[in-house]
Amino acid sequence: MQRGIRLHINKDVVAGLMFMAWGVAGLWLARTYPVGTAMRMGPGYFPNVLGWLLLVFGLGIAVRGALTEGEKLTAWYWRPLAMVLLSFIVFAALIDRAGLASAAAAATIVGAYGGPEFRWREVPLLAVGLTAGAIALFSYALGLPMQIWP
Amino acid sequence: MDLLHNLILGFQVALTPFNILFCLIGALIGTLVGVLPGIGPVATLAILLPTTFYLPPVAALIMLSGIYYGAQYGGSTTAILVNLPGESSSLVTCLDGYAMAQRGRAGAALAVAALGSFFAGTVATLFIAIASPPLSQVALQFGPAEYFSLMVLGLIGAVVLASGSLTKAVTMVFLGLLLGLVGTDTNSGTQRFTFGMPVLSDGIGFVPIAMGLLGITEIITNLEQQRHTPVVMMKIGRLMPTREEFRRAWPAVLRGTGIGSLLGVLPGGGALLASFAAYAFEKKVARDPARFGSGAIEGVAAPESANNAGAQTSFIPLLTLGIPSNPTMAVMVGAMTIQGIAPGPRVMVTQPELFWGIIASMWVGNLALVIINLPLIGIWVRLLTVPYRLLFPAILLLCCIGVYSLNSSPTEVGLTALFGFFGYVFYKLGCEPAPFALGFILGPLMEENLRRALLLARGDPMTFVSSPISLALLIAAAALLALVVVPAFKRTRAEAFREG
Repeated sequence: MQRGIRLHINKDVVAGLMFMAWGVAGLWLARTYPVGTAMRMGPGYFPNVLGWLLLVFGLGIAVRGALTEGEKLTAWYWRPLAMVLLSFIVFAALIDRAGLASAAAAATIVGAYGGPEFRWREVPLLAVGLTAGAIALFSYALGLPMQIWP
Repeated sequence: MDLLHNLILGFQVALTPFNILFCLIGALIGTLVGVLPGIGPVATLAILLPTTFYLPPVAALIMLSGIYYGAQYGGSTTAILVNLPGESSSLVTCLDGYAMAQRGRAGAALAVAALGSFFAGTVATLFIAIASPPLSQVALQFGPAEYFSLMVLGLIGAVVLASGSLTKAVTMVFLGLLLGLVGTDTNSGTQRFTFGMPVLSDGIGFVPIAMGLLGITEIITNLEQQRHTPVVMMKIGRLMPTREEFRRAWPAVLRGTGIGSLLGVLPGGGALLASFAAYAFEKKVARDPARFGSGAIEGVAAPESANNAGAQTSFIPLLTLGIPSNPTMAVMVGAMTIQGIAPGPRVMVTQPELFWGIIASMWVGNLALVIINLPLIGIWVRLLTVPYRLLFPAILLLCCIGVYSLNSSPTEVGLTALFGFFGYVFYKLGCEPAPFALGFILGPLMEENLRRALLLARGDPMTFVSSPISLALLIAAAALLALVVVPAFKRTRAEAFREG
């Protein structure tokens, strides 16, 4: 029979490591901020405290996770994630250069591609409809100062 | 009488046509997101936050609060008719509500849910009006030490009452606090964590954070679960409850209202906790608990009253102390900040028309919701047939334009996407975003008050225990934490979040 401690990889282990990474990043970025004293705290005091707390708690969570069965990691669904985020990036890239009309249409099409089913006949109609609606609502009804066409 | 005088002032504000209009819009949007599974009130509030920038403060807050309690009405409709919780706070309503629908009593369940909610809303409105002035009087005496301790209590309460792992929730608070510090330090003018980017010098905006973490993540995870809602609708039937049903329902409504009103005020409380607790309590006090799950009307009446009461009384800590108790209230803080209002005890003194206007509008909104929900229920139910694949691109576009319109900044649109990504990572690792959002909102305030308290006390940390109020708040926080370690409470906490 095998003895010794069995280590697991689960949600808690990865979460703990993630917290530790945030803590390290916080401490590293805050390394130049003056810490000051408890009475006259410098801008570095609170960030340093939080950085250490993240590091210590993250370590605790990771170690405890490794020693217990815990919740298994689940698969990532890349398509919805990537397409939804991409639709924001496309919108951000186009809005100032090409105007609301093309930014809105592009964001809709990219976003819709992240859905469970992408219907080639339906999506262009949806994009046109939503873009027209957005222009009518935000530009005309609410009067937001947004460039519509390039 | 002061109360009467204040309420009259409130109704004068709430009953102007303009404010009635926005109260109705809020109630309608709330019902809409309540009915539709897959979009919750927090996400909706976060998504609509930018549009409130163009409204006067009173109308903006009236509309947003209408969405929160409106969702509590709408959520029960889906729960009862389709056996899907339109809202997480209607989860327990599914158990007995759907069972009633199967027996052909859907109409009675809907009527009891709506009327119970209305009763609870009325009581909660009065409760807020009575409890708020003394509380804000106390809060006005608070110095920085008391405020710091109050925020500690608020954060710990939120963590203890949240579902899931406690340690992870605490660590999420730390992370939220840390990210809340991004921007220019108010005392020294040092730029912290800004990477030299001008958009970050005022801190990460609350809108990109809230929308990304609470809104976008929800959309992505919905897509991943590929909700093909097989909408099998139950017949609504006669709305009028029978005499027997009525006799059973009204005490449950009273109990639910009481539990909801009290639990709403707690840090971490609100609609969700209230409905679970009320259902569990009904089961405990029932003479025949076996009826629950197979269509006991008390199992609809109590949680539906409780979630509405809890949704409303969770405004008390926000309006009197300036401390948000749940993520929805954190978004409300964001809305107030956009309007240039610093939430806290001063709001009641300096802007009584805002304070009492919101409270009075809650009653107006509740009245409107009964009308929106009962006779018009067929329209809402038909909405369930709109497929999500058409709905979510529209929501995404609304988000994009909303964030952009705030500062005309494409970078903030990108930041929203970044936080959507972080939100997905948190979701996959079982880390809850709610404690993070509260930490983020309270981060700068907490640091400021900690600094000031220690400066006043010449660096002596004893200042937090030498003031009686601060000491009491810290003891309460410690007691809450200690409670979690007690195995019996741990079990109840786990059970309460599993299913009533």
